[in-house]
Amino acid sequence: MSELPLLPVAGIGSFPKPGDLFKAEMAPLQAQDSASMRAMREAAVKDWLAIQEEAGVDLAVDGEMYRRSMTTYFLEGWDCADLDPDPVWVMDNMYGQRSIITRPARRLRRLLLEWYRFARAHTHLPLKVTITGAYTLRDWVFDRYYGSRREAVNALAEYVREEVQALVADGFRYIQIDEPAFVTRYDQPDELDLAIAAMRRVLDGTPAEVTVLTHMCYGAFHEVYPKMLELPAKVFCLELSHATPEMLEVLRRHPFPPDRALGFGVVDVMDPRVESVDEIEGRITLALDYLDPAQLWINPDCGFQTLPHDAAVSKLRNLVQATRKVREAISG
Amino acid sequence: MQVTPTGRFPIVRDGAHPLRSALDAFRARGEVTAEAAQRDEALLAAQREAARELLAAQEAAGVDLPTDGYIPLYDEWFAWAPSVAGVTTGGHIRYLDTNTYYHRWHLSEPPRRIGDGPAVAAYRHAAALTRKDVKPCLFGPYTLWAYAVKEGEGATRRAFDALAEVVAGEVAALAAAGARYVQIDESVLLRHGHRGDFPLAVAAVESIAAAAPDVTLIVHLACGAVGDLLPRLLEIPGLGGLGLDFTDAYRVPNLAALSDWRGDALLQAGVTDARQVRLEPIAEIRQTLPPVTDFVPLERCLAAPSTGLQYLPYHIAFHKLDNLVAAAHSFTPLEVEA
Repeated sequence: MSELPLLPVAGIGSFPKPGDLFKAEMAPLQAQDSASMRAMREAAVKDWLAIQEEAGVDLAVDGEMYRRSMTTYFLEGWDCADLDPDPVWVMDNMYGQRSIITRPARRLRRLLLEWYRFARAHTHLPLKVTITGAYTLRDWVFDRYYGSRREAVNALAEYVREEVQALVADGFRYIQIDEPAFVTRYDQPDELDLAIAAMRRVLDGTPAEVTVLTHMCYGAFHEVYPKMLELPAKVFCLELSHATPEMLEVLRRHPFPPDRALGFGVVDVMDPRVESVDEIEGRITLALDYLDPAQLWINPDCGFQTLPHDAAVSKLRNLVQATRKVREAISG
Repeated sequence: MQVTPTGRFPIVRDGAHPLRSALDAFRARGEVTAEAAQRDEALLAAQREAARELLAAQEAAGVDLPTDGYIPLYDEWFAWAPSVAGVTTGGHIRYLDTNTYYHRWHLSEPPRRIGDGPAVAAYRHAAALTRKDVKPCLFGPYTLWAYAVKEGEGATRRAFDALAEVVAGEVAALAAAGARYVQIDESVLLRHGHRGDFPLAVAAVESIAAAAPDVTLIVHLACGAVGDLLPRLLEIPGLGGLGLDFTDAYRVPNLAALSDWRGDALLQAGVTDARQVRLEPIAEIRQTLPPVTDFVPLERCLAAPSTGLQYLPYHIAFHKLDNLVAAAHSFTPLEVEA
């Protein structure tokens, strides 16, 4: 982590897609012009890398411009699922198509490596790889193939592991496993243990110089903390711009361990209102009531894909500005 | 056996639906609040049309006790909040393990009902379109409480009781509008972390039932095993019915719990899995019914999906509903005896 400053700033993963790309993605896969889609996606990745550099983040993400969703991209790519055409309601006016697992992976190819090599070639910033964890991949889709959730999660963990190993072997040093579903079955110890075992399998053998992060959002964190610390991650990036009294209380009772870091979500990605620098600074200051500065990373609540382009850019800029003010205050 | 759905439906086929366009247009007009939505005639008309479609689809499927087909602005919590003083919304949270997001209620003082929530208008609209009884579905006070951000006076028992009064007022308003059946969803109560709050939830249901004594109040508990809570639920004065989930991992434990069934309450038996895409054949659904009617008289059973069908793609949801109706309507006491 030495290449990063105090209070490292990074996006969570996704950024809003350009309108033409978003529209093109709505077409059925077989009807999409792959060369044209590739060009649009590459251009969008480059744009968002440039925006992050200009904004001043410390660790870049590639924006996930080539993923239709954080589940279907992987399951379709590994060819173990079909996509149902009728989308289901997710939130507000947002609907999403769901994958249906119907078979084991027919072609276990590495989906991410080429994209992250592309991103690396177009930024001077260190890159954070983001990949959906096996538990969430199973939880957010339908399964018509495996006999149990455990069987499905374990199989998917092997596929995720292949991706991670390829990226680590290629030199990527920040790997974020997204496991938002970890927060939803908080009362079922077997489920939490299943998610923990899956992430351990995914990361087994990962060298110590790799910083492992995980991301969770929109759940009752206080119900899974400190249990979540059994996940083999160094940095826990959580949605906390609306930090609840329960979560703050539990952080008070069980201080975050000194060998881990908390990525504090300080801007709301569901609300297009752009928080002021002062407002974000206040949220960072709140986080410092509970964490040593060396334990604190700064991030938005979740991926920015839910926001209009300009709101995402403005929020990112303000997030960086607020963090710089706090850094200056800390360093005196 | 009669059939009733248990909540919202999916609406979108092939990526499009006029309600989505109407919502986009509403948002483009600038004031994106639940209050503004209640004044926006274009959006209200689109919501009414979506409800009419869903009611017609239920009738076409042969449903006996349809829901109102209400699709709220964003989600039920967001849309209801302006009718309750002392409640603001902010931040999202996922509901159960459904990967659907709701706007959390923030309570900093005991809430107070200041007018009808949108469910009342939705009921009136639906009731005018059919000669059948229509069943509105609300979230119960314990669920609203469990997911709320609570601070200060809003975190007190007094605030919870006030929240129960808010829901009781809504149910009473639905009764005044003519509703004879109302479902309140309290599924979160079956989560282990919440079972300790059972006395709170019981007191709330009792007060709601007392506020609308002519309504058959059905407490729906999806995605969980009721276990030893069942006898205590059935003892709640005024309880009209109980919805239980007999699919997936909950089938065996909830069937086992039925040996404790007592009294006259209706059983809303969730025998079609609303969380999985596999289509249960009609014969398979029929086979699930005798173990239920072994303990609950047939005339007190309603066949239902395990929870709202909204979690399924449209074509699968309605295919499941068709199969459920076919199975339940062809189920006879002879099969019970056999």
